[in-house]
Amino acid sequence: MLLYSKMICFLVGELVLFFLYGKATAFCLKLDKQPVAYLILIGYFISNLIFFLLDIPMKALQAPLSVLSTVWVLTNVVLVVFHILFWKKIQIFQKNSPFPWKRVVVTGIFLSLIAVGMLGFVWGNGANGSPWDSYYYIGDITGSVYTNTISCFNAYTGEKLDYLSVEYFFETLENRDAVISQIFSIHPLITAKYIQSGITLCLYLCVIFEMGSELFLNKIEKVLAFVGVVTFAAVFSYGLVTQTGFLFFRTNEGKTLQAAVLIPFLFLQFYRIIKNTEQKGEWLVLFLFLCASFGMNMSSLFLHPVFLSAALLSLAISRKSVKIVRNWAFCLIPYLIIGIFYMSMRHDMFLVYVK
Amino acid sequence: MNLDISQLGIDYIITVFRQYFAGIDGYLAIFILCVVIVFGIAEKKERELFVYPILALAAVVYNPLVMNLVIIKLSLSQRYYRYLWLLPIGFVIGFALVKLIGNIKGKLGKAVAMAGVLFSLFYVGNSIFPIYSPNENIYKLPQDTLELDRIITEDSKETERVCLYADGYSLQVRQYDASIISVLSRKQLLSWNIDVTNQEQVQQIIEKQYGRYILTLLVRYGQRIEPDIVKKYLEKYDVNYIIIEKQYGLDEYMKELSTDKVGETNTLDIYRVRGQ
Repeated sequence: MLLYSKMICFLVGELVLFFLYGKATAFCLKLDKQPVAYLILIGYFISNLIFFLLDIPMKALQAPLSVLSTVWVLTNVVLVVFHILFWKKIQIFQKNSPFPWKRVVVTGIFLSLIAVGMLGFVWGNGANGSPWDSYYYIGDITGSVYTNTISCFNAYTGEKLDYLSVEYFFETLENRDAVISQIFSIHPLITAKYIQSGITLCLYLCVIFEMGSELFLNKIEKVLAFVGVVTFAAVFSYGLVTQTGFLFFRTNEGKTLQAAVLIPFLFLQFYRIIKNTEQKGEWLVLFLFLCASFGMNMSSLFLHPVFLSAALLSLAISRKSVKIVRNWAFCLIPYLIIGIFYMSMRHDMFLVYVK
Repeated sequence: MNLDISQLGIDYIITVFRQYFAGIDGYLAIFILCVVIVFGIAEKKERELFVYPILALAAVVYNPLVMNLVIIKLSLSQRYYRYLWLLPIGFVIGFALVKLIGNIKGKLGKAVAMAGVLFSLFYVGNSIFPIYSPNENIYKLPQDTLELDRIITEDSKETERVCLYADGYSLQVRQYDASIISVLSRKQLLSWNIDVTNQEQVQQIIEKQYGRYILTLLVRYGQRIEPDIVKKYLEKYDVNYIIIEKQYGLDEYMKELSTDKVGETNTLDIYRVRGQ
C-alpha cells in the first residue's frame, strides 16, 4: 500500500507538470479556454517533444545520462518559473467550468473510480503480454541508469553496442524513464511498471473523456455514459495484440501509448479540426503532436501518415477545400524528415558508432 | 503476429483480421453495425470523423490488392496488425450506442437499454480478468529471478558478473540488475533453434567452433559436450556463472567443467566457474 500511495503522489505530480506544459502551450498558441484533460494531454506531448529535442543530440554525442537528467530538471524549473512570472496572463486562459459544482464532483468521482480500478488492475497484475519485448524496453532503462549512458549498451546482454540501435534511435520514451529513475533514485522496474503505466492509463482516460466532451458538447450524463461504455468495451475486448491487450498487460510500452493514447488523440484532434477548420491553433497542436509522436513510439512513422491521409483527404473532399490538402502536406513534413534519417540508418548510410 | 505474407498472399490481410479479432469477432460485427448507425443518424461532422476515414482506410490499407505490395516493399508483415489500431472501435461503439440510448424516452427505458448494451458487450467479448495473475513482488518479476540475483550478488566479488544462462526467468534478471552480463544474445536465446536429436547437426556446430552456439547447446538444450571444448569457450567469454535448469540433471557433468554449485532456486542451479 505504501508503494501505491507513493506512486499515486508521483503520478499526481507528473500530471500537474503536464498540465503546466499544456497551459504554457495553449498560452503560446493563443488557444483560450481549454479543458483540463485536454491541457494535460497536449502538455504530455509537448514535454515529450522538448525531451526528444534534448535527448536525440545528446544520444548522438553519447553524453552521460546524468547530463540529460540535469538538463531535464533545469527545463522543468524554467517551466515553473515561466508560470510564476506570467501567472496572471496565463490565468486568463483558465476555463471556468460550465457545470454546477455538484456535477463536477460527480464527474470527478466517476473518473477517479475508473482510474483507481484500472490502476489497481495494472499495478497488481504480474502477467506480461510479451516478456521478450519487456526484456528490451526495461532492460534498456536499467542498463542506461547502471552505465550512466543513453542507450549505448545492448539491453539483452549488457555488452557495449558497436553503433546505436537504428530501430530505437528516435524512440526516447525509455530514455525519459531512465532520467526519472536517475533523478529520483527509483528502480527502473518501478518507473516503468508503475509510473509510466500510470501515466498511460491517466492519459487514456483523459483522451476518452475529452472525446466524449467534444462529441456530446458537455452534456455530462452522456459524456460519462460514453466514457463508461468505452472503458467497459476495453475491458471485454481482450486479444493478444489489440488495444486492450497492450493497455492492460504491456502498459509501460511505447506501443501501448500508440494504441491507447496517440491514435485516439489523433481522432480527438481531427474532430477539433473538423469543428474549427479555420482555427490555426488547432492545426499547430496537430503539427506539434506529430513532431512529438516519434519519441513516444516509432510506429508513428508508418501509422500516422496513413491516418492523416485517410482523415484529412476525405475531409478535404467532403469540404472541397484545397487549404486542408495544403495543411495535410505540411503535417507530413516531420515524417519525411524522420523517414529519411530512419531509412538512411536502416541502409547503413548513417550510423552513430559508440565510442 | 508471426504471419508470412509470401505464403498467405491475398489471404494475408484477412488472416491478420481473423487473428486480431479471435475471440472478439462480435466486437467487429457491433463496430460495423455502429458505423452504419453513425452514417444514418449522425450529423455531417460526425460522419466526417468516423465514417469517411474508415471507408478510406478500408479502400486502401485494409485492401489486399493495394496493400500487399506496400507491406512487402516496406517489410511491414510483422507489424501490419498495428494498422488495425486505426479502427476507432471503442469510440464508434460508445458514440453510436450513447446516441441511440439518448433518444429513448424515460429514465427507466434508458437504464434498461444501457444494461442491455453492457450485457451485449460482455457477452460477445473476451474479458481481461482470467489473464490476471497477482504480482509475486513489487518488481513484478518471478521470485526465482530475484533469488537468482541475490545468490550471485552475495557470492560474487566482482562488480560485473558475466553469466551464461538460457531460460526466460534468468534473462529477466537484467531488468532488475544490469551489472549482470549475458554471454548469449537474443538471437541465441530466442530464435536459434536446433533439433538436438539430430547429432550430426550438433557435431557440425562443435566442429565449426561456433563458440556461443556451443554454449547455447549446453544451457538451452542440456547437451553434454566434451568438457575441454566448453571450458575453452567459458574462458574465452570470461564466464563467471552458469545458470542451468534443474530438469537437465547436469550436476555431475558441471563438476567436469570445473564449476562449483553456489546455490539453487526452485527451477535453476547456479554454478561458479573456478578461476574466473
